[in-house]
Order: sequence, then C-alpha cells, then structure tokens
Amino acid sequence: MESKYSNDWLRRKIATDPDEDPEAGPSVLPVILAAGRASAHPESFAVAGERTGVPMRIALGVLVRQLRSDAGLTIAELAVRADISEEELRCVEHDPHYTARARLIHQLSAYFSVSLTMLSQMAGATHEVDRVLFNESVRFAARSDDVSTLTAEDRATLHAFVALLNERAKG
Amino acid sequence: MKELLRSVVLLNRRSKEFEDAQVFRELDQKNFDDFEKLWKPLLKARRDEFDTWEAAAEGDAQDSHWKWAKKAAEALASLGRDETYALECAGETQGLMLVKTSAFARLDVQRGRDLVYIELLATAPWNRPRLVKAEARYKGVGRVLVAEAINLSHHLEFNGRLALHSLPQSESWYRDIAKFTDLGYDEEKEMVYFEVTEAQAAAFLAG
Amino acid sequence: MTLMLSDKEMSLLDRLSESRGMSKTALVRQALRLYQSVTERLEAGEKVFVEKPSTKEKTELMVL
Repeated sequence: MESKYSNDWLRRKIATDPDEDPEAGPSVLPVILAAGRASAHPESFAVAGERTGVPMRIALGVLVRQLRSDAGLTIAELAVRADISEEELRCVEHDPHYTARARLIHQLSAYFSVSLTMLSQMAGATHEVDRVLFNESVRFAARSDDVSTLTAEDRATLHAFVALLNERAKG
Repeated sequence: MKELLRSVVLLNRRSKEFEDAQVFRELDQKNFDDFEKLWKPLLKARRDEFDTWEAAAEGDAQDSHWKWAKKAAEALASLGRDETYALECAGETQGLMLVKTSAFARLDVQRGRDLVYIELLATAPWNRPRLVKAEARYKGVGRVLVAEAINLSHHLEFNGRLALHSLPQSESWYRDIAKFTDLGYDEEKEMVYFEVTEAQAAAFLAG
Repeated sequence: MTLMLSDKEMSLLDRLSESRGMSKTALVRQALRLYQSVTERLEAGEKVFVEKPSTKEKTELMVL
C-alpha cells in the first residue's frame, strides 16, 4: 500500500508535537484484560461476548429439549428426576437471553452425562468460548427442527453432537 | 497473515535520536504477548486507567467504556483481522490500532460517505509521559498511526476521511494540532467524536 | 471473475460510484465488506435495525 506521508514529514512533525501522544477509543487496559486470556489460545478460543452468547444459548436450548425428548420426558418429569426447577428448565429451553444458574447446568450435565465445561460455555457462564464448540453448536442448532418427536436422523445428530462435546472436553 | 506495511521513524526521547520502526497490518502472537507481559503490568502498576476500569466493572454494568472494551477485545482476539495494526520498534510493540472500514460520516458536508473509523489507538504505557513521567521512551506513535489510517482511507478510495472518539486527554491534540472537526460529546460512547474531511486529511499530511 | 450485471444494475453501480466518489471496483469491495459485516452479526444471532432519530422508531433491516 502506497504511503501518503514520508519519514521526513514524520521527523519534522514529531519534533514539534506536544509531549503526550494522542490515543483514541476506550482505555486500553480493559481491552488487554478482556483479550488477554483468549490470546493465549488464538486458534481455539474467542472471548465470550455478545456475538457468542445468544447463538450458544439457542443451541443449548435445542440440546436440552432434544435430550429430554430422546429420554421421553416432559418438562415436569425431567424437573423432578434431575432435581431442578420447571420454570428454570423452561427458560433454558426457550429463552436465549436467560442466564442459567450453575446448579441447573450441573444437574443437567450429570443427568444426561454431557460435559459440564461444554454446557457451561454454551450457557454463557465462562469468559472464553471454544471456537470449535461455537461453530458446532451453531451448526447443530441450525440442523434441528423444533418438533417434539425426534426422527432417527435427529437422534443420530443429537448423539453425534453429545459425543463431540464430551470428546472436546477431554482435549 | 501479519504483513509489514512500511518502515517509519519514532523519536527516542532519551537519546533524542530518531529510530527505525515498523508498521504491521494484522497482529500475531508476539504482539499479544507484548500486551500481556509488557503493557499490562505497567498499566496496572501505575493504576492510571485501572482505577477507572475497576470502578466501572464493579459499578454500573452498562458502562459504555467497559462494553466497548470487550467488543474491541473480541475484534482483537479474532486473529486474522486485517483491520488491526501494530507499530514495533526495538523489537517491542509500541502502538496498537484497530479500525473499522464499514463506517459512515455524520458531519454535514460528508454525511453518509464512507470513512475509516479508528476504533482503538493506543500507545505502550512506557511511551506516555503522563504515566511514566521522565522515563517516557518513544514519541510519535499516535501521529504514525493516524497517518496510517489516512493511508488506508485513501487506499479504499475514501480520500482520507476518518472518524474517531477521543479520550479527554487527547482531545486538544485532535482539535488544535491535527485540526480535525470536533462534533461534540457523544452520549452513547461518552467521549468526544471527531471527524476528518478530505481537506483536513490532506492538510494534516502537508507541511 | 466477470460480473454479469443488467443494464439497470450497471446504471445503479455508476450512480453509486459517482455519488460516493469511488471507482466501481472500490465500491463493490466496500459493498462486500458491508455484506460480510451484516452476515457476521446475523449469524451471531444479532439483529440489524434502522432507526429514525427523530422518533426513535426502529425497523428491522433484514431477517436471516
């Protein structure tokens, strides 16, 4: 890319500029703090934020609904068996702006044998989000229809996704 | 891919000599390591912005600067974005810039026209007299990066048009030294908004 | 890649590049960047709105 300024111009101007250099945008420390941990794993992590939160929660909702459907349970039945609140369960399944509490995630993870770390990331409870998890979650949610009964194909997709989650959690 | 754009100069405040520096497009792990290992400890130790951030983080979750910082961090953390720039000298990251190329002018004379928006422009803490007083090392990081943003604007055929939001301590630089247009306090960003016309960009680079 | 544009589309491209003061190539590149930016937001589950400042009335720009 061609330059519209020369180093001679820089020398002349910098010499006479005031002591303090200008900056723009927000203070850099919060930016560094937020980006810091993610940068240690540039290939796999993104900083959790507005762009990742909603799609992940949509995927979480679909996952929970399908796991429940696969087990042949109503919301009331699952709530009793997993010892969680019906109300909260409903919110997780349908409201992508709802922040699930740690206990609920823990109970669901234990009941359905799905990785707790992966579910926590999907719920938006972590600072970082695994990129592969993010992409696979979005893909999983997009592939799933919002029907109460699962076809054999749906089941296969569901089980493959769960297997991926548990595999990813190990690595 | 991180790409060397050009070789520039920065003034070493102590030796009073100009030194060679490099402008890169896109960041790499080395830049992130510098932010983490070199910039952060000094910023935290001097507790300049840290107090503001901490207060903001503990207090109002709606703080526009904190939300903005998180968004900028997301953009930075997505490696491979060619809207990021690094300025290196003596083997260390001296400056950082993040720009947006899908942005539009508000100033009447160029309303709706495409421009390059400087999302973030920061110089390493050791270059800031306000933070480190007499120990400040290099001068000129801000000028180089603003000039580079004008280069990008020309490259995209926006003829040098720019926009940015300024922290209070930089306002007079943009208004009086660079002679950019002050469009006033932006309620949403809680900072003063500046725009640069084609003529102003040309005047900035002249002389 | 050769763009197959209709007369109407070419005429629109001419008008836009004239009013925005950019070459047609630069304009098409910018259009791509804009489209990419919108796509990223939509794929992330965000919505894109247009707002009328005088009334604060919002209209959703596109739905995926």
